[in-house]
Amino acid sequence: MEPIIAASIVASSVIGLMALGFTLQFITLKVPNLAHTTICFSSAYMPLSFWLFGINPYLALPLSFLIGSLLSWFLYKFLAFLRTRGTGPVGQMMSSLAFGLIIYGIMNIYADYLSYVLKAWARTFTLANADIILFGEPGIVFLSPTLLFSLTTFFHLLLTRTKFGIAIRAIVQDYSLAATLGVNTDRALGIAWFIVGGIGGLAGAVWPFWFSVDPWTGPRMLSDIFAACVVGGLFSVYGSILGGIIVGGMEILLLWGIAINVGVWITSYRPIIPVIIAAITLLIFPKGIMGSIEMLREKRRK
Amino acid sequence: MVLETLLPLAIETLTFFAIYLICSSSLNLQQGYTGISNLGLFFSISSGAYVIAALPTRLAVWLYGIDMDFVYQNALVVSLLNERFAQDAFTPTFLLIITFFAAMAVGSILGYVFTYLSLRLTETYLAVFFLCVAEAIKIFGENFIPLAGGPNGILLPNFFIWLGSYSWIVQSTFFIIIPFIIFAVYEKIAGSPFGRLLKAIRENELALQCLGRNTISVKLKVMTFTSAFLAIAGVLVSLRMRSVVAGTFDRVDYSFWPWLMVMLGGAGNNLGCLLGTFVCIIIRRIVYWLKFYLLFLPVDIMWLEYILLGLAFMLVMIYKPEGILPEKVHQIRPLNRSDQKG
Repeated sequence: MEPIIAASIVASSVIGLMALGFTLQFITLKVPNLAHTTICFSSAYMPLSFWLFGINPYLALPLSFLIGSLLSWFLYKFLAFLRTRGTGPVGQMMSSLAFGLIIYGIMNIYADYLSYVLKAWARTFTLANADIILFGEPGIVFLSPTLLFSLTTFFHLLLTRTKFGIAIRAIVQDYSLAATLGVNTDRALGIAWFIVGGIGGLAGAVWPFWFSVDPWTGPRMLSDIFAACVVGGLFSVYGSILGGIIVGGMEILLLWGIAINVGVWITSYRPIIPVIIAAITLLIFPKGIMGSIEMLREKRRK
Repeated sequence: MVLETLLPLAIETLTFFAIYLICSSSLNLQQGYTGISNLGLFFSISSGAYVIAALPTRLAVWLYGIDMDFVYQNALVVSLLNERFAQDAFTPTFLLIITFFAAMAVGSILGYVFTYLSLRLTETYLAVFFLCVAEAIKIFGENFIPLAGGPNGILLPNFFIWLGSYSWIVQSTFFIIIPFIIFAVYEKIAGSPFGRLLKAIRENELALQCLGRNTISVKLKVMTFTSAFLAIAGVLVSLRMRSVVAGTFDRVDYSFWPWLMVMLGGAGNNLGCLLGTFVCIIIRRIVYWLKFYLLFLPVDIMWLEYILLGLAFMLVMIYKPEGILPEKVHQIRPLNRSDQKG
């Protein structure tokens, strides 16, 4: 397989998974979680630590899930606490950013610790050399899309076939009404944030198997996730997954196409691509793919 | 002896405070008064820095007929310009005035364009959009070498060198006076009918639209002129550092710190914003000095600043969400005594 195709598969899958969590967190609390990508990539240091201690880095994935889950759950609890005290969406959003900064600081301290104590190159790292080979290709090329489809299916079933899913959908529709009807909103949202945080943690942990990671990767990736959500539709979980696949794929393939014609220097402008995609989407069809589909449906009904 | 040591430190802290005052009071007008959540404050600030990096020095090179590339022979050109500026008061002053107007123009255009693009977004998503745009501009500045020297940055000549031994004190006074003029403008706006209109937009935009007000136009105006003032902050930061490094204009220093200043002092209150800025600058100075006493640790202490900053913000949100000086309702005087009695 062409490395560029493999890279786009990994990027699409990971961004799709992260966008799923970002959108679900947004539609449940009506607050964008600006720490989401930082939380996701904080777990990327687990596979590195395993590898440095001579253990297969893939074995760190459950731990990465747990780190993402716990951090996300803790943040939810904090934001919910602020909400009960009357803090508005902007205050909550800024608090999530503050939480992200704390994690960023801790990640840097941990990276410094690995660098100074274990003499490892932990500030910017990749685990491409530690990956397993399956059918002549790096394992991550198969693992990342598998994770995307299996976790999306799991999430879909969870939302449509369980009481918990009904509760979540009710909360998304009307938080107060759901609470009045007896839904334990705090517990349901806590579990939802725990699960999507874990999924994000997994996504962040598989990223270094193909791309390089540094403590700033998470905050930097916020643009990609935002673009994915705008393209897919700001209020649709499935739309954001689709948006993630499109943005991740386009970012790699489009840049590759331009680089062939213009020169390799253009690759340093890669992080600008998602912002351009988001801006164009906002201008042309501001409701994103799912929003546009919904509008078409409405027109047909009328 | 003590005075000789403390005076430069006090003036340096005061200039730092004054420049940050532009950032925090601009954000206060955007967020505190109008309700526009701008997380990408640094795009306007960096636009000012890019203007001073790209415009006046190139003009100076052209005016003096120096046949060198300002970016690739930066250090040499800067030393030559410093020599010329030392004997010529008119050119650097003229260039500086041009720079301020150009920075304001660029900042306001960018502010207008990006606000126009994002008008369809909700309050919180608007903030994320601004953040992403600002990051994109930062990445552009970091990589586009002709603009501001790329990742290595660019040195600037001393535009005040012609003042000789008074250069430092005049420069510091300049850095302090301009932010306070801008602050006075914001304070004037806040107390004017336009300020009350901004608060009305923040409180209930829909109601104002129903009353026939074009709230979008007002928001565009606010973003346009605050972005112009923020660009001035970018120029002042660069003049103070005498260099422009695109990577230094990041979300932590030039977005998150001003947010903390506004939230700590009290959003929607300029005096609160002033107080919040002062408290935060003192905290930052203390952390800065602490670093030198903790060098024995096996980690870089600068990361503690991020942790402390995050914790401080979270504590403010828990214990003092309305800030140290909460917003006060302006009492409007009645037109005459009979109204007062009535």
